[in-house]
Amino acid sequence: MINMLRSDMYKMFRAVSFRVLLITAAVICVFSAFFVNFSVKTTLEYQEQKRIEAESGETAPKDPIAAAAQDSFMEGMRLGFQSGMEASINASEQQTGQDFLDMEFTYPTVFEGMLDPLYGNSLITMLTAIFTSIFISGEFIHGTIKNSAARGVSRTQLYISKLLTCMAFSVIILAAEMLVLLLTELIIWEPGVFDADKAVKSIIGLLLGMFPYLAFISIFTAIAFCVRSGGATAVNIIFVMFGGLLFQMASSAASLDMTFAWPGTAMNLTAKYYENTWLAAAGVIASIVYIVLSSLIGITVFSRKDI
Amino acid sequence: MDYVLRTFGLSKAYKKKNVLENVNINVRKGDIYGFIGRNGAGKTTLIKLVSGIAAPTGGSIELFGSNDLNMQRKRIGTIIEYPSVYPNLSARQNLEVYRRLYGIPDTNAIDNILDAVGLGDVGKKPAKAFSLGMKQRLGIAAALLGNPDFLLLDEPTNGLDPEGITEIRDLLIRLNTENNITMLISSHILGELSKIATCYGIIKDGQLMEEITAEELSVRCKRCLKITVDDTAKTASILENQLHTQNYDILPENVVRIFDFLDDAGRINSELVKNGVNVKSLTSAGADLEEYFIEKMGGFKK
Repeated sequence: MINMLRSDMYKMFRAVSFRVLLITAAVICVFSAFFVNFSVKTTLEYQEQKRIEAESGETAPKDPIAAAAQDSFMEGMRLGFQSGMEASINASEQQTGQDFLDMEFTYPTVFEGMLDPLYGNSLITMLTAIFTSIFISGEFIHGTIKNSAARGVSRTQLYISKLLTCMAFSVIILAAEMLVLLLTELIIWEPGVFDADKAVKSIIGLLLGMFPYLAFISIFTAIAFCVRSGGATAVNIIFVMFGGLLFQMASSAASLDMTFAWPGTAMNLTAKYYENTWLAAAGVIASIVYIVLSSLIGITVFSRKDI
Repeated sequence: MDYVLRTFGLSKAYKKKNVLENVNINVRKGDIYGFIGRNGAGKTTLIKLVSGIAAPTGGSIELFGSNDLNMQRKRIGTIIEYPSVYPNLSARQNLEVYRRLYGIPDTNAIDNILDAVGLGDVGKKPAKAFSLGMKQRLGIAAALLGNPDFLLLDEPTNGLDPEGITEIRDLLIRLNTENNITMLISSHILGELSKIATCYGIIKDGQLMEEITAEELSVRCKRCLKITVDDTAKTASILENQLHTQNYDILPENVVRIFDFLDDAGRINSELVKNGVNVKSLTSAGADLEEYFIEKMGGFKK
């Protein structure tokens, strides 16, 4: 088993998909940090504009530079963001009665906002789905799985080794995201005050959120072993995109509130609301059930079908 | 006698279609077993069953005299259908994957095998840029890692140029004679196989038609006169005492094969008749290897 893992890890680190997906994750992390920055800046500008309108009683003149740049992509995005924000603020004000002008918006600091973008991160789930599919189905497409299976290696061990390797990838890509995010935030934000208590809690939340994350990987692995072709990538992506919706529909049809049991939701809930013991326990238990069940199905199918 | 592989009534069916039926194969230690059959005859299926990547629907397999197949399969190297390589890895990296998988501590093993198969100087070129011949060599190299005692090679010379075929053939003979590696080589290139095989199994439509050693085969393919007579004992006596030859054998149904006097059949006929033997038929027989196999495999397809 150790030999198999060593072999699979060797392949993983040399896989083109490994490098491409890591770079993709890093670029998106940088982008997301800048986007948070951009959205706060836009919100503050919008708040200032509204404040001027409220004080003068008339619509504030448009910033000439902003008007000149209206056609540009960023300005278009800013305006789009502002109109979306206006709609959401109006709705929120109607609900809470709170005046937008009284709200306080500040740029996040590194230590406060460090892990926030990672909670319930569907991007990372998608990237892991792609890696798992390519890594496993590639063995079938190129026929290399035959070389391993023909040397008396048990199918169960082969399966578990691949599962653990994909899980290792998921941890690596998560760690890489955290590192890139931290470095980017250190460049664009103030460090802020380091709150050890909050940091510990964030890490606990993140660790608990790993369970549903690993449950996803277990399901991707089972799907890849069942599909055994390039189609596995498509099936897994569709699963990530629409699986939650189908799950909700199924639980509604059965009149059961099982939302927490969907790994995507559990990932978010377990990580964010881990202090709610029931919620955290339910998320973790549901994840373990997923891991065990999907592995059993995957191993059974892989063991019974000819290669 | 030590057998490396024996199968007993081995069968395989896909969707109720029998692709292998009641096959009893016997590969002795040290053999280069040429496994011959048309495309779709069941050669690859048998190799898949023996190597464990497909499950039989009937019968059993014995490897190295044992039924603990998973343990014994660790002593086997295989190429099945086509050489399976990781396209983005170099030859060395491909073998490194298997070195780790098989738990081989010696890192020099890779260099030695790459040199042996003629891929010692391909450097970091990824396997996807290899020619089919180079991929075949890499596949053989992967099969050789871990010093297997038994090689299962499915069409190992496919895609090789004549020079490559000769090199691979020499390599396989060397591995057999120097390292005492037993081999089962499936092929439909009879000429190539006949240069290295020490015994043959002929498969047709999933059924093993015949197992025969190279020596037996050369005798069967030898040109001879086939005579059907009423008295084989008397015929033998005439052949030895009057025609002074012992180069003959007696087959069932009163058939005598004579390997001398091939261009003088009339003399034999007259001697036998003169001595009161009733000659029912006298024909010239014998074929080359290819004709023999084609006949066994059911003749040419029309």
